[in-house]
Amino acid sequence: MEIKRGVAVSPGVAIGPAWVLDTEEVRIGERFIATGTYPEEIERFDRAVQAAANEARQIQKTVSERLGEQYGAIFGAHAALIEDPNLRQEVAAQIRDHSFTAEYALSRVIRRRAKILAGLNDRILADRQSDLFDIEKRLLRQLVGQRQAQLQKLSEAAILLAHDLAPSETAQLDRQHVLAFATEAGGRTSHTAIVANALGIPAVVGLGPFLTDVSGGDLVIVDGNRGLLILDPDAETLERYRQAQAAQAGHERELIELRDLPAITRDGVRILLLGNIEFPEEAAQILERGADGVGLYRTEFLYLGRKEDPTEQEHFQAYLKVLRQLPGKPIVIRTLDIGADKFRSAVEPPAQERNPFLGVRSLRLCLHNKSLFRVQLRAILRASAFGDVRIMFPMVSTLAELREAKLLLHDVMDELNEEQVPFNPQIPVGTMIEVPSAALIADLLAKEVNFFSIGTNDLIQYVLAADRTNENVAYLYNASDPAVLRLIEQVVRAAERHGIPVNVCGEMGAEPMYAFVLIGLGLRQLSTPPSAIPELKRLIRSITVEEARRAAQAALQMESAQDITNYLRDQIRRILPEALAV
Amino acid sequence: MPQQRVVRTIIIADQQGLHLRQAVECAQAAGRYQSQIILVSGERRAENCRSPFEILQLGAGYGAAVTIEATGPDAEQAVEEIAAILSRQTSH
Repeated sequence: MEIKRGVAVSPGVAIGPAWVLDTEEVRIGERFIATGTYPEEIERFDRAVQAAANEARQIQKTVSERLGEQYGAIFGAHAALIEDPNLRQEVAAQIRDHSFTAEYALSRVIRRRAKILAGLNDRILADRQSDLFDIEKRLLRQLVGQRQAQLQKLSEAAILLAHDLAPSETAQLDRQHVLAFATEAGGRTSHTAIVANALGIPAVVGLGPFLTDVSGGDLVIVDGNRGLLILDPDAETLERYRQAQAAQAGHERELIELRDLPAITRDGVRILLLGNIEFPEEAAQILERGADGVGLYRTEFLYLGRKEDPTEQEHFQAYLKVLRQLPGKPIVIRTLDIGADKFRSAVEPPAQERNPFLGVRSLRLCLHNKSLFRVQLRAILRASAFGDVRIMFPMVSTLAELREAKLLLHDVMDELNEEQVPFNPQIPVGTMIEVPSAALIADLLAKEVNFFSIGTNDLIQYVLAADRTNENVAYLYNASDPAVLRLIEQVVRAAERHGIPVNVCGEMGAEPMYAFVLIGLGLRQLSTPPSAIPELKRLIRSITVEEARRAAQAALQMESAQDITNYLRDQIRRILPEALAV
Repeated sequence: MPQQRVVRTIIIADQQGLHLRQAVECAQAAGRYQSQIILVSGERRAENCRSPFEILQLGAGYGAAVTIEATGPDAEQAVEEIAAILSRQTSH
């Protein structure tokens, strides 16, 4: 038995026969063309560039449809690298000056570039070498006239072992037959790793040389949780992994069985479980996980990574796509929530801000760009004629801001009325509570909206004045902090007094121990990533509201985040011993 | 049209550093302008801003300064657009 340690990039455990991908690839020798024929050779290279770029764009399309546009964009970038004018110039010079074949000239230029990237002493750029080799392979295949060796040819389930996998090869892996993969090269931020994660295939990369120690058909284990590749496992190890695999499968099956059961506490209180989504494609997850609807539909994807602002029709189509998949379910659409630092509008160039999190972001940005905001409001209203659409304003910090946004909404309603465009005039309007000032005036805001949604991610950061991505202050960012719990309680009480529902749509609600305390504080809705819903359902079906209330009251009396965390963790361990409360 | 020379320095704000997709966007943007555009970061230069690889090999990490130099009739707009692309934060 031999255990190799690498970088865990996609979780899960797989046991199966090895399938070793040939490391020789296409071997390119130093070959020459007949003197004077270089114009034809350069022309041949140009044709390959065109075909290879087209192929990359085709893959971009396929991958975008399968996994989402952000993954497809990787191959759009490959197309641009293939068409890089300097690449063409350098290859042409090699062909002309040394009479090299296009193939050999290309591999020389690519190797030189890979060396430059490796020499930059930048881990992320070093990972980009695999992108270069991917485009090299694509060009070579065109030049050699080979069609792409299809990775889908695999006829039985196996574990793929290779020196390196190009991102495009990873994206085309057949999920039915590839149980896992392990590679000698690669790092955590390589595109290959990102694609593996999206596909849900367990993967370990950066293992160092191991291919010489293994032959096709050998039994191997890939432990994507701990970043291990185990060659020729002994009986004991094999047994341990088989059990772990069975336990994992059993746990998942159990959670799936919970899907069709309602989220009702033991004392009969129904908790609404909603999903947070970012892309229309995620709507299917809402059904798969048994959610009651969409509690947060982020709309930033419509604006990011493009040169022009999205049109009303693009907004409308994106909303309709989700509505059609979830008939009858509530869909809360959050208006654009983006910082000026991330936003590039065709209307206004972004301003340089010293402190973007306290700057023109989110609703503030929309109120500064009313013409842009109107486009989205019109589209949301139009979509409201086709289902239970609700609208939610993010980052409200004063009553005046909320009123200004509502005024604009009513203005847009009048406009649609005049144009005789149908919409729901009773569309529920809500506000997020994520700025401390909004939490403190929740009673005033409650009179003007139909619902609240507490955005805990931002609320915690603003309340404790701590950026959780800053490692020096991240310890302050804690959902268990007494200040956070007290503020949430205050918001819930204000909502109760004015008879409006309140939801939590931050990451906090996805963790069982926090879901428990939130229910204890009076929350009757939670909105979380769809993947968290089965586990929450199990929690809810195991508790009484009364015990949650008592626990919340006890937590509210405590002095520190640490005390509260310890206390809640003990509670969860008692209620759900098998839940991995962190 | 008058020839302009515009120089501006920006700081890479994305935690991943100047990454592949930004480099590609930059090269595509540069292709839309008549001006000649050069990027400089530390000791490295990208003489042809229309080449994504040239931009990538600047190795400009998080917090690095990148100077954009454009010469030509539309230098002002070119620098404006390229600065916007390079100073954006895209990872989330």
